[in-house]
Amino acid sequence: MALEVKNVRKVFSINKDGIEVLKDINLNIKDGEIVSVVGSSGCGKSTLLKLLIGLEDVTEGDITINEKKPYEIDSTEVGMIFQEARLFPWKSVYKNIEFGIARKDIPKKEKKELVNHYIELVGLKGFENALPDQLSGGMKQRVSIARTLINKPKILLLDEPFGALDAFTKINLQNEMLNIWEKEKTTMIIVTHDIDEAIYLGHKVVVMSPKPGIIQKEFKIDISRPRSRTSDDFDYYRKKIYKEFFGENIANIEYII
Amino acid sequence: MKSSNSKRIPDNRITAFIISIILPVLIIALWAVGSDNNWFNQSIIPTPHKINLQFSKVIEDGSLLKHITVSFVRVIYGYVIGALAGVVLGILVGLFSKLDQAFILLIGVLRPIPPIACIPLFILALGIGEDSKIALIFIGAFWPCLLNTITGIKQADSKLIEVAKVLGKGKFIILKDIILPSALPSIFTGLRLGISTAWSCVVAAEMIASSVGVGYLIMYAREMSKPALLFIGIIAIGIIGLLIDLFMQFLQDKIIFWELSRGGKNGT
Repeated sequence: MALEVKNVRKVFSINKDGIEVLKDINLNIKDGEIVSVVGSSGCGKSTLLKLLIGLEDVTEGDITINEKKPYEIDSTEVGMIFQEARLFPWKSVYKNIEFGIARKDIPKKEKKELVNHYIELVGLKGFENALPDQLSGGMKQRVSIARTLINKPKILLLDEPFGALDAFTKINLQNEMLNIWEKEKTTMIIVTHDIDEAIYLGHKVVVMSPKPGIIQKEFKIDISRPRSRTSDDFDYYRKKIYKEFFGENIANIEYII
Repeated sequence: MKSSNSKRIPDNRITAFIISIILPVLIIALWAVGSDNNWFNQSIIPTPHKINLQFSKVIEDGSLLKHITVSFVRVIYGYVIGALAGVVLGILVGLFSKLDQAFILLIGVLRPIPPIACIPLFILALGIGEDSKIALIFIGAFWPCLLNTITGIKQADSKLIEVAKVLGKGKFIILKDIILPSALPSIFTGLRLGISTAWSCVVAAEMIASSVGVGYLIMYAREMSKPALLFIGIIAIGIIGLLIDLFMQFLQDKIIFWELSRGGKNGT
């Protein structure tokens, strides 16, 4: 599913004048493409996702997803994964994933098979009856991923999905998302503040800057997959993007980070 | 999985129980010693022995059980209606901000009035029979249930509601699967506070106008100068209150099972 964002502006009416969070946003995302959006906090990158999924409305401009507006899109077509797993503490792993099913007409037996399939896919077999509070952070996020994937969304929006996880879990889950992409060719838009993650996953990296949130630059990442974080190619893009954030003075980077 | 400390829990419980009975046992021992040495005026504070004799008597003739049963039935009536009304209204007020605005002043004025202050009014309006007592218990149970339900409903996590919206879920599912379970811990706090207020209210009502019930028993004992009976009445109120609370806590742990897996146990 292709996605087009045209001259989008978003103003939040917090005070009398309103605060401009997004300005002149233009994005063209092709079917099956992974686009990483990086930017410091407050650059409106999460708001952009909310606009795409129809939780917020644009102030000006247009968003079209396969010729439809976000709020016309069926919940089975676009899925979203948040930074926090956002599981229901009173539902077991099984029930949490089952809750994700957006289709209403699905027979019981098929439902059960579907849930079990996705439990297995995210490697949580044996934990069906566990409650979220009995799981580690990584496992919780797996449940959350399964809950979203169960609808086989054509477009997946990820809002700093691995931001709260430790480095090892993070890399594992990144690879799993890529596996899913290999199989399903899902279009993904992943918002992150982790530049390595952005390069590792994205066909394209969009750099945003705040106040108001604009797209500062777009990088096409020309590295074949599987990508290695230690390769020279990777480092080339890493340096370019760092420069975009911090200017030519690379010496400052270590200090800032 | 988090490591469970199931191995340690039984030990802890036994130790906690032993520690919890030290003070009551000490007080009773002191009381017995004091009585033997005439530290207290026996027409006010009877000896444990006298209480024991009196206790056997009221158990044998069934009068204690009769008083307790009558009080208990009154509480159940008033509590069930009051708690139900409080929770239902609380859910509505919590869900609809217009309703919240409509009620906020009324609740603000009425809430600080102790239910007991309404006894004369209820007796005037409903007579000295069952109705005035049940009305009082109703009020006692109603407020804590109402206020805690409102808080609970309002505190429902907006992030979880967002998840449901993204998944295209309707309002009813959001209420049933997210808002109500989110509010349950707070609703239960209200239910527990409500039952203990209801229990205090029945005693107060019976002390003022009644011919049966634990509150009446205490007043009767005073009029007849039977301090042992008076003590039995008072202690019975305490023990029944404790049993009710233990039962409510048991229910809470069963219904809000997910809170137990959050590491920390609920306070006792």
